[in-house]
Amino acid sequence: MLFSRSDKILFYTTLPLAVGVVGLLLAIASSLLAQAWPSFERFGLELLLSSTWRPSEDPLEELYGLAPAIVGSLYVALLATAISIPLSISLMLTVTEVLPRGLGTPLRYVVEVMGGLPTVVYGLWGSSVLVPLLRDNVMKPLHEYLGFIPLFSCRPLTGYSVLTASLVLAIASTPYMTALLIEGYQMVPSKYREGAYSLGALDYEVYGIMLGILKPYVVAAALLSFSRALGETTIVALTVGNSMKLTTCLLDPTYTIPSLIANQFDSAGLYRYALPTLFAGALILLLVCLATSYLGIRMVYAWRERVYV
Amino acid sequence: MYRSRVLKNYLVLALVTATSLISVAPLASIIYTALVEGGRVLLELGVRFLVELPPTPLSPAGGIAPALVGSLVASTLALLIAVPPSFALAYFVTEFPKHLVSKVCEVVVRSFMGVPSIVISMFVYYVLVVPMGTQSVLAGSVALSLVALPYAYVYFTSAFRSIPSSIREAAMALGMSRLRALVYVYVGLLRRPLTTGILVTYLKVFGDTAPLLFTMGFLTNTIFVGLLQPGNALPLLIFVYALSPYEAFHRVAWGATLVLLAIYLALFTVARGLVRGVKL
Amino acid sequence: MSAYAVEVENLTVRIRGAEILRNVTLRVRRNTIFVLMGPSGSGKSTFLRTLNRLIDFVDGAEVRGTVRVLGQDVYSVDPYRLRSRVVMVSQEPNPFPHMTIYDNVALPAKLNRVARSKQELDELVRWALERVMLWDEVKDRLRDYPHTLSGGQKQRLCLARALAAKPEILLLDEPTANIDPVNTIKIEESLRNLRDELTIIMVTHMPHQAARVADYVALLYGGTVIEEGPAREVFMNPRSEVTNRFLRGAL
Repeated sequence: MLFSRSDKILFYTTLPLAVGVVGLLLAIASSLLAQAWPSFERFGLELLLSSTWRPSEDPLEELYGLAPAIVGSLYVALLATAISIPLSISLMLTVTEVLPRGLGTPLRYVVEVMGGLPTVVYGLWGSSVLVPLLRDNVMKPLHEYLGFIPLFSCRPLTGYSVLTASLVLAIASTPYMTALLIEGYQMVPSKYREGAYSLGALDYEVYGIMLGILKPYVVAAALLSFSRALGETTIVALTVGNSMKLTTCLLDPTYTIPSLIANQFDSAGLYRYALPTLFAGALILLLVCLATSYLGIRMVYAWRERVYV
Repeated sequence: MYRSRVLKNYLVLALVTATSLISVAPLASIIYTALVEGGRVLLELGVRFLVELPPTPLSPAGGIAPALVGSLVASTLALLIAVPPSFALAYFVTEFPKHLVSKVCEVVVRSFMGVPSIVISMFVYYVLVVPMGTQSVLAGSVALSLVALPYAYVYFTSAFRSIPSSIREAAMALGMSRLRALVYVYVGLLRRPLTTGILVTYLKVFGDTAPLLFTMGFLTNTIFVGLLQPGNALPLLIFVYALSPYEAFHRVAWGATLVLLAIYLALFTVARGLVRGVKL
Repeated sequence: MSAYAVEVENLTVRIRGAEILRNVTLRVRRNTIFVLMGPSGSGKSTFLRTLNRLIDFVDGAEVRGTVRVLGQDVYSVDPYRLRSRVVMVSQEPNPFPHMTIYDNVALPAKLNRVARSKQELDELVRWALERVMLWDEVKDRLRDYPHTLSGGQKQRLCLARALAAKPEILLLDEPTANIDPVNTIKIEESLRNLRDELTIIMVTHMPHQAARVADYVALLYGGTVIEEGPAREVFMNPRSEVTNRFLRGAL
């Protein structure tokens, strides 16, 4: 590809940038590791399993655990993605198929607006509007009537909970996933759709066939959405309750790794092992997010190859 | 038999459409609440809201001036830092696609999108704030630029990939070097998608909170001190005030949200309106 | 200075393993119109792209043999410089859509420093457009964009753009394949009038076009040269049966 001196000059002047970006990624990971190391050294595996959070002036007394944050992160992100999937699929179908050409574009516009809306706005709305709304109309009844199910067995006091956070996060993530799905849908060669219709299939049956073709892509999109949900800070910090409680109950408040960091960072500087623990949490978050988003991207490429055969 | 299929069809279509409408309904609630709650604050204070200093627990009334200025400065600086390298990288990767470096670069920069913004904030804290001894507008801008880089890169690569191969061949067949072709042909051809990409990235960075959390500081006693000093930003202010227990702060948060929403929707319409391209 | 603009010896080109050209040996005299003719898929476009090293951009292309253009081996020179002296016009009209008609024609001239001043540039643009008989049609709308032109006009614009670069060799890849008959005639006439100023190498699958335009022809079939020589000789007395069939339109 490098055919002459001018090519070579172009190539070698941009090359450092490319190397720089790779270096940057490595620098982020390694600086997190460096900062987190004292905590790993001190607490070892207990860091991942313990639910205590005991800051202290005396370093020997300090004890921190990330278990509630880790579990909370996974719980909220999984639930948000799960809620988001059917919503995104519906939106995708409505925009591409159900609505006639004229109406599909405004809807797509609305979805795009929602997709770029600053997350802090979702968070504020979630905490002002949805928290009291859910607490009184959904969570209290759920606890009263279905409290025997472990999911609803805790008493909702404030409305800040896993459920609220997941719901707002789902509302905020749906536009992203919808955009991915629409892109994927438009990548499917039109011959499959035409073929389905010409066999006499009705609309919903054609959608079923298209979704079948898209299934691996939907999984990939869900993975990417999950990865983004894991890293989301503002929405969760404003709705999840920020309580150091390891829980499976939907109506309980808890922590996620980002909201823990956001909440505890300022005071963490006062103690010896608090900040390293937060960095440890960040490192775990980074690795999981990178792994899932990388996996998602590979799956998209693999699917694209198969579809064009 | 057929009739039951037709019935199922209508049911599915109705269900799908209803679900879609439910999915976008929250936007209506968000805008409504912002207008009501935020409107209340803005009506009370008028333009003063935009030029006064934020409230403290002791003096409840106040405005968002430092946050507005900080957001503008930090977002612009972030783009100035991020756009040239992401443009160069996007060109590099689309011009030499077969080279190993390009393939690695594609994977790495797209993976960068998977880095949570709070992690970026912590990284910049560690490499800029700690050595400098203070939080600063510069640190906030750098953090935002790290978020902007992969974002702009994705836009730019798709723009470069949209150049028809016939145009590329024409440029080569006329004896243009790669650089000349870029400057005289590709950039002109892509001026719409490139501008849209930059605008959309600006929008993203303007509304992003997490990268600023530990880097920007929270300036409240003056409007602007300097790049190397703490500052404030609109989403950051909303976040901090929303988390606080004071009712007065919540009201300011809503006022600020209304302003943020207005800026966001205005820029968004401009960016989307630019999508009309060159007639081929 | 060699009498030949192009000298090709034993050129073999493979693309991803498939043999496209085999042992092609041809010579093109300066200031002549050389037409390489043959049915679709016989490797003609590949041959052209070897002359200006556009073949470099084709995945998996292997080139063996000697290609000398303007006295130099094409692989010993800077390819971008080469392409500014050996300019090609593609089959599909491809004017730069974001530039005005004037700017399209002026661009290569500006970049190659053919014109030094605005006035020289204006004159050059006019000259190029007159040579392709487009000047009268566009002189009042030089600031318009190419999408307002018809397909045939676009292709003439591309030819003018190539001419304005003042190349020594002009390569044409099936230039009228997608063009209406009226514009085809105009382009052919332009080419005939340019003979004295440069060397023209054209590729076509239409034997009648070759007959109208060429000084010298060669027939390329299945990647090899079947026959070549002065146009009149080849058309009057074809030596090969394959040539016969091609001229009759039976290939």
